[in-house]
Amino acid sequence: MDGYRRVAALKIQAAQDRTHAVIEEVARVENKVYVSPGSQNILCFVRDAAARIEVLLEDQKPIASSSPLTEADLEIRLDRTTKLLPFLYELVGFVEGSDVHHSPGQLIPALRRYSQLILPTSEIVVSSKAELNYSIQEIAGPLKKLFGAMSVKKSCDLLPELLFVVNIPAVESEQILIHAVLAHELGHALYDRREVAKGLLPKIKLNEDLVKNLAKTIYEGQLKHGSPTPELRLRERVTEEITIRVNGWVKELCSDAIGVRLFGPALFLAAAHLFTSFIHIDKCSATHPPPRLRIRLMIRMLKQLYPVDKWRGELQSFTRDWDEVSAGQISGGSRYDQVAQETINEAALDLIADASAVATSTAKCYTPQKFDHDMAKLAPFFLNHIPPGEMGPYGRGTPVELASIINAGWHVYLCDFEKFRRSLHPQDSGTRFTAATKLHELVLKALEISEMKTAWEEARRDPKRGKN
Amino acid sequence: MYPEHRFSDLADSLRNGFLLDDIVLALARAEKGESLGEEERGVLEKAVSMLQSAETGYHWLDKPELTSETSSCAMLFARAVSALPAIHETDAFLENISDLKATASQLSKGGSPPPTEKIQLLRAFFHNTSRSELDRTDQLVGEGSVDVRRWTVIEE
Repeated sequence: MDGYRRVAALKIQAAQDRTHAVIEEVARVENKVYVSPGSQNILCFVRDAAARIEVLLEDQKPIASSSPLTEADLEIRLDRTTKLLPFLYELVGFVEGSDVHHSPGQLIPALRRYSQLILPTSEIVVSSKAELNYSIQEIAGPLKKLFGAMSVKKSCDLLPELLFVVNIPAVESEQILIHAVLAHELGHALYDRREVAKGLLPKIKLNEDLVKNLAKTIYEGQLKHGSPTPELRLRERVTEEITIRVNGWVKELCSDAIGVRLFGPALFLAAAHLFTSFIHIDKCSATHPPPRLRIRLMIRMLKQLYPVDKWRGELQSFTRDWDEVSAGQISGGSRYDQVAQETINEAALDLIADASAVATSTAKCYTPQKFDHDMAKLAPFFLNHIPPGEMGPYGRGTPVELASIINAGWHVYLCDFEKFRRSLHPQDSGTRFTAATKLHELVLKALEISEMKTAWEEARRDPKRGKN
Repeated sequence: MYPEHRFSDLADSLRNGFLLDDIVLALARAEKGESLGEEERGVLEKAVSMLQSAETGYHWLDKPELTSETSSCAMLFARAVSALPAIHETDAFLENISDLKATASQLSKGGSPPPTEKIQLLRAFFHNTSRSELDRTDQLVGEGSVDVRRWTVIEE
C-alpha cells in the first residue's frame, strides 16, 4: 500500500501540472475577439476552475496518504478527480471557432437577443467548426450541478444562468434558415425551467398490460433458445429501457412543440430540411424519437394553430407531403421503441401540445397573424433584393423580429425560389446553391439591420445618454 | 438539431461519481471505527435515498406510471442490480437492498454503529457502484476525445 500511496502522490502532482497547462491554454486564446460574451464567460470559468481544481487535488493528498481507503477505492477516487481535466479541455473546445473570423457575426447578436427575450438570463456561444454537426446544448446547468457541492462551486459565479453552445458546420454557417432549430433548444430550457415534466408525465398513460407482458414475452422467447435472462435482470432492463425512452421522447417532443409556438412554421421547415438531409425518417434512439413522430407532432400543431389550408400552394403542398409521410407507420425499432411509440399516441401528442402552451404562456410567441403579415409584407422585399430588417415610415421604422425574418425567408425559399433565382445576376444564379446563398445573405443582412436598429433605439432610450 | 446529451451526461456521471466516492470514504472511516461528522452523515443520508430510489425503481414494473422521477429511479435500480453481481433472485435483491438501506440509515443517524460486517457489505455495494460510474465516465470522455492509450502510426 505504501508503494501505491507514493504513486497516488505522483498522480496528483501530474494532474496539478496539467491544470497549469489548461490555464496557459486559456491565456493563449483569450485575446482573440469573440462575437459573443459567452466565449469569455467560458474561458474565465475554465481559468478559475482550473486553479480551484488544483486546490481540490491538493486536498486529496492527506486522503491518499492516510485515509482508510483501500488501493482500489483510492485509485477510483483519484482517477475521477483527474477526469475533471479532460472535462475542462472540452469546455475550451467549445470556444474554438467562436471568434470573429470563424462564426457568422451577423447572426449571433440577433440570436443572442432573441434567446434573452425568451430567457432573460441566458447567453450564447456560436462556434463554427469543420465538421458536419449541428448541435445545441446548454452547459451552465450541468456545470453548476456538477460543482455545486464542491469547492469549485465559486467558479460557477462566472457563468450566466443559462449558456447555450451552438455548433454549426463551418461550410454551412451562413445558411441561416436552418438555424431556426435553435427554437427547439430554447424549448428544452423552458421545459426544464417551467418543470413541464411534473405536470405532463403523470397524464401520459402507459399500456400496463403491454409493459408487463413485454418482460414475459422476452423471457419466453429466450427460454425457447435455452438461454433465458434471470427475472431480476430482465425486470431491470425493461424498466430502464422503457422509462428512459418515454421520458426522453416526451421531453424532445415537448421541446419541439414549444419551439413551434415560439418560432412558428420556421421550426418545422428547418427541422424537415435537416431531417431529410441527415437522418433516416424512422431512426430513433433511447433519448430521441424518430423524425416521423416529431414531424407528426409539428404538423398537428401547425394545423391547430395556423390556417394551413389558406397558405400558398407550394407551402401547402410541402406540408401536405410531410403530413402524409408522418402519418405513416414507423418501421423498425426495438420492442422498447414500440412501447414508446404506442404510449406516445394521438392523445399523448395533444397533451404535449397543451403542455407547450403552458410552458410558453409568458413568452413572446409567433402567431398566425404575424405569419400572414410577414408573408404579405416581408417576403416581397427579399424578391426585390431588399433585406427587410426595419419596417415603417422613414425615420420612424421599427426593427423586424428574428422569427419574422426567418419565416419570411423560408417562405421565399419554398414558394418563390425560382422567381428569386431568375431575378439574380447570372453569376449568382448559376446553381441552386449560389442562388440560395444570396437569399441567405439577404436574410443575414436583414438580421443585422434589425439588430442595429434595436441597439440604436436602446441607446436612445438609455437614461445615461449624453451624460457620460 | 441534436442537442448533445453527452456533455450533460458526463457532468452528471462525474457528479454521481464524486458523491459515491464520498460515500465510500465515509464508510471506510465508519468501518475503521472513526466517528462520523455531520458532513459524512449527510452523505450517508444521500446513500439511503439512492437505495430507496433503487427499490422504487424495482417496483415500477408492477405499476408502470410516469413521473419526473421515474427514469432516475430506473437508473438507480439498474446500478443496484450491477452492484450486486451475485444476486439473481428478485426476493434476495429486495432483501439485500433493505438490509443495506437499514445499515446506511443507522450510520446516517449517528448513535451506535451497525456491525462491521454490515458496513463492509454496504461499502462493497458502493465500491461497485462507484466503479461502474467511473466506467461510464470513461466511456463518455472517450466519446469526445482520442483514446490516449492508442498509438497512431502515420505512414510517410
